[in-house]
Amino acid sequence: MLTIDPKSPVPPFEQLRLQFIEQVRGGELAAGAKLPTVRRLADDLGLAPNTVARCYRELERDGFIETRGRNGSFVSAQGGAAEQQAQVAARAYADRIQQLGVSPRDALAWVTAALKA
Amino acid sequence: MDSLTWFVSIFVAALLVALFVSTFVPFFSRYTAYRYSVDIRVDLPVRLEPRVSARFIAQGRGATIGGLVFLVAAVLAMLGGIYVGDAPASPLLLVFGLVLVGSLVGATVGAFTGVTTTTSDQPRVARSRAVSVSDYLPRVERVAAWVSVVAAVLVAVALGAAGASAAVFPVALFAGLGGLTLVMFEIASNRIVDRSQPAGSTADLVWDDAMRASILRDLISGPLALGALSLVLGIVQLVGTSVGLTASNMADNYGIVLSVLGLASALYSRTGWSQRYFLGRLWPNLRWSDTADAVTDAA
Repeated sequence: MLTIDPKSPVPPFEQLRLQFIEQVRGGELAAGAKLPTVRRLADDLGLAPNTVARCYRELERDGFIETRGRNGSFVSAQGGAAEQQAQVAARAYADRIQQLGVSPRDALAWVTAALKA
Repeated sequence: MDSLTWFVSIFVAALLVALFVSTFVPFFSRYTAYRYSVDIRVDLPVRLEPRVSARFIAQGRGATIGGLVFLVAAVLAMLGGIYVGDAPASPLLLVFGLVLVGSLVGATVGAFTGVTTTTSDQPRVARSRAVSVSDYLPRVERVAAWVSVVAAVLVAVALGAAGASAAVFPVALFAGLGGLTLVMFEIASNRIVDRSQPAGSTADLVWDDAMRASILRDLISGPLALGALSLVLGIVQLVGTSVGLTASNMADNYGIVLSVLGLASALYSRTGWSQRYFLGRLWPNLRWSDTADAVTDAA
């Protein structure tokens, strides 16, 4: 969740950027997660589209997100090569679990069992 | 138009008028909002109740006005001598199908009315990831709608090829209306989900999601019901023709199959799983009281 406080001394652009970084680092925004469009997020938060666009540009420059042309912006895998591959695999597993309609609890239990085996 | 069709048309019109009038009764709209709150197990804060009620009112008024307009159109078309096939229940099915489509069109229009605003000096809350229709509506319902409509069209074609001309009209009518409402759903659902969600708190966002999920479920019920009805009518007709059933026997079969279908759909809609689906996708850790405003609600 993103919160923008207009009364805060921190500029909205910086509030937004820091929250995105925190969520990517904390795993709340997993690798491969799609971000809202610039216009949509600007409308939702009552910000100018340029503010959100600048935030996305800086996040992309710092390697937190990547833009895939007209498909939109996505969270990049973080860490070293092995960690990045693991995150991509986790994203693929999560997508498949959603397609199959399996509950997240079962999916986690199977992963845990598989890792222990 | 026969007397039974007149009777049913007047009855449906009276029902729609009564439902329309009920949207002007504050108690009724409040009851609807809190009933939904109980169904999805999410607390509705007192400060949000007028906004949620207003959206239910807009959808209710849209649905009833749409149903009435399409009902009048169906009656006028039949009085004007439109061909409704030779099957005994064709005029009734035409009325039923058009009222359902009209209600969905009206509810869709109602869903787009009203603008959620927040004051410029209050904090704004937004979701950090993009959402899609599949976050609000179970994939199985969308797939079922597509399957039933496509299958209904195929059965209508098969009936036409088999030369069962008397049965083709209602089956083709429902299949066509099912296809129409499916296209309407695909266009409207994406536009509803793409709309911005100005929110001042998590509760605002949760309830905006809840209203979106509610209207999307209403919209998908149209093609699902019309496709399923068309399928039932077509299959009973195909099987009946092949084993040589009489018209009255087939009417009995329609009644039995439609009753089972209606009961199954009523049971499914009451399970709550579909109603709460969006919570699992968008708010997996939300508890009943998380959206409550303790101070204002207690006052």
